[in-house]
Amino acid sequence: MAKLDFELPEDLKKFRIKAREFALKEITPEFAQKYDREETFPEELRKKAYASGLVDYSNPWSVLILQEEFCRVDAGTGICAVSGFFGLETIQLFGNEEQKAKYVPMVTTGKAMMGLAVTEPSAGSDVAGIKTMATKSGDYYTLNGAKMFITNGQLADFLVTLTRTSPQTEKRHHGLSLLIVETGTEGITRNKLHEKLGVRATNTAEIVLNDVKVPTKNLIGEEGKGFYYVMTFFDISRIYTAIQAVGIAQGALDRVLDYVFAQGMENLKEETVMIIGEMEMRVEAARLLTYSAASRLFQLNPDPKLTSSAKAFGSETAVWVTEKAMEITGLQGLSGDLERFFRDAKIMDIWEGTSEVEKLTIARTMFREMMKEFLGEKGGVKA
Amino acid sequence: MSSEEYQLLRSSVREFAQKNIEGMSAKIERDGLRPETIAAMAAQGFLGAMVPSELGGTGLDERGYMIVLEELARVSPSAAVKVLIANSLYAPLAMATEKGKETLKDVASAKANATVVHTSLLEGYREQTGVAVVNSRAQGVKDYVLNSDAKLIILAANGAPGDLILVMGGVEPLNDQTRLGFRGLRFSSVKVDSGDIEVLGQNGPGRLDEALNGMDLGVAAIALGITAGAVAKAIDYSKGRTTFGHPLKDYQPVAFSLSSLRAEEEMLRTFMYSEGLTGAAKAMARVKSTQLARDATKQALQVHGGYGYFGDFGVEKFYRDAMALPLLFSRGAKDMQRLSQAVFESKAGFM
Repeated sequence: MAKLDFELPEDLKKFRIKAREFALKEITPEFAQKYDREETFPEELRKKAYASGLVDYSNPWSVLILQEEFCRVDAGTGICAVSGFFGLETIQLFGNEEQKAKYVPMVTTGKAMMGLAVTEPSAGSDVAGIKTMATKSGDYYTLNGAKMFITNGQLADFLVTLTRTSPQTEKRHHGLSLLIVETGTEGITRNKLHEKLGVRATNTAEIVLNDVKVPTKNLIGEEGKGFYYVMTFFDISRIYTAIQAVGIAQGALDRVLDYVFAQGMENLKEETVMIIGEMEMRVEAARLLTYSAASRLFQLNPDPKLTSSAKAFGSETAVWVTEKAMEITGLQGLSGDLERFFRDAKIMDIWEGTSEVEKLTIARTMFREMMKEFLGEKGGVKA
Repeated sequence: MSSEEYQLLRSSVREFAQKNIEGMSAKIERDGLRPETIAAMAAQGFLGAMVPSELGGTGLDERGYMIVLEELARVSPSAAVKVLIANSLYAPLAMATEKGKETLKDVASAKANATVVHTSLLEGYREQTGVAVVNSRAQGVKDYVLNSDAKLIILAANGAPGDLILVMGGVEPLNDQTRLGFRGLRFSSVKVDSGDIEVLGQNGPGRLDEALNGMDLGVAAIALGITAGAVAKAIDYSKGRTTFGHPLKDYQPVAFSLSSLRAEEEMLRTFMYSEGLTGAAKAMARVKSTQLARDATKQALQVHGGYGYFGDFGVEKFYRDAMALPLLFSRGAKDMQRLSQAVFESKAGFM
């Protein structure tokens, strides 16, 4: 009989325990609160996480579990500790050997940090609407434009940057390219953005590019294909957002259970008991959906509708569970750890594609599949 | 007051709020309400809105008071909560004695900052400290005090049940604590050491309970203001922001969700400001209005995308305050029980 085994293998179960122990030891409530309040990046935590050997990019399942367990303790500092690689897959999948040799190891060892610069002040969900322009002349592109809400923006040693390399035409997804931009290059200004609602330890910046010269050898893959590379990347990164959201939701549920035990189970009313049941139901569903999407991805056979489902469902779960956790714990949630979980959760609904974008992706992927079936493989329907 | 007078009051409060508060609402979140803003609110008569004029107040009726709260909350929920504490908690409790009444004109004029420690009645309260009265002297520490840099503090003293006392001086706020909402007001423990006290009555917790139940419409009005402020911002934003070549408002999910929230906002407003509301109707207004504020602020933030997540756009504070409002001024299950009692005409929903 066919077997659908939803258990993680033993080595990952053991890894989960280690990741949780590390997070509980290093990210105390006081630590998380301090970085949240001060809006600063916990560089020493990131270094410790790498030194501990827990951050292992050769094993994507371990990266997934690590993010889940870190966010379960604190999303803000937890994400900082393991997101120095943000955008790396664009180089791994589409970069040439020289680029891989130069940029991948420095990030996977934690020596350097990187970021992905796609969003612009006037183009968020509408990725193809970006205006940053790169003009080629000899061995260089000259970049002009501005990038917005860039995670790791101020700290990154290089930014994989989406830019127009030819003017926008009817086919607006064409003419976009990905360039590796080293942040020490002249003409780059990076401004840290302050006063985020949540994940306040993470570094978010606005990047202004003013006649920035980037060698043509820093072009990732082919010129004009950047949009498709970025979309492929989002199908990967959304898995990580989904698991961050699962971690936040699980962490909120942990705290609710602690609270009701401390209050005395004999005082529990049915309304609260049912909500706790529903919290567990949603968290487990979000986790399974995410693992299922991750499993497809890690076997190099990603399913965009599964990935986007995991991301949107996970985010909505994190928001819902943290809201209910606030209601149950009242004053303690308001003045303790949980209020931070509530604030952190909301970004999951927004970054890496809003829940609205995810739902469009899910439906459009299905429509494409239907069309393909209807027209046959030679029907000429392009992705 | 005639409906024209209510309309006039609304436009004058709105004008005041736009002129004096809106521009600095982000600063209020960072650094707290400034003394000059509080003084300006007092000069308008907001801090003594519901206090009878013979006691130094403005003597507004409940509907006029709701207008003040709603319009202030539209730009700064912290400013509205400041008014709520003075009028819905402090004033009715202080009015129990002559000496208490005498303090009201100073509260109305912002000469004395006043607060009430009601948080011991809320979900999640954990008794760790308390204030005891020994030989006519109040001493101890009270936790979870909102607007804690007050000189006049009403609290329930230790005991079973302890008296409700008014402490006049000798109150020191301790370190500011983390909290989700109403960052314009200080939130901390306070240390009390004072011989200047007035007993306002026996059974402190019972009196605080009555005061909390009595403020249904005040809480509902602030929630409505939060809804109105957040939805208006989202509507404005969705007219100006374009994506995929069209303004956000052209897309059904954006237009329909915001229109539907606006419809609920308008219906609730009509209901809340109608005459002769029963106790049950007031409880309904509180429950529905606080929930609407949470739904509306969540959607308003979402419509703003990444920008909504930052303080600059002034929408994330509504999201925080909409969650903090019921946690600090409502009592979840207890309010629902009160509503259920009215609906079922007998005790209901207690298991």
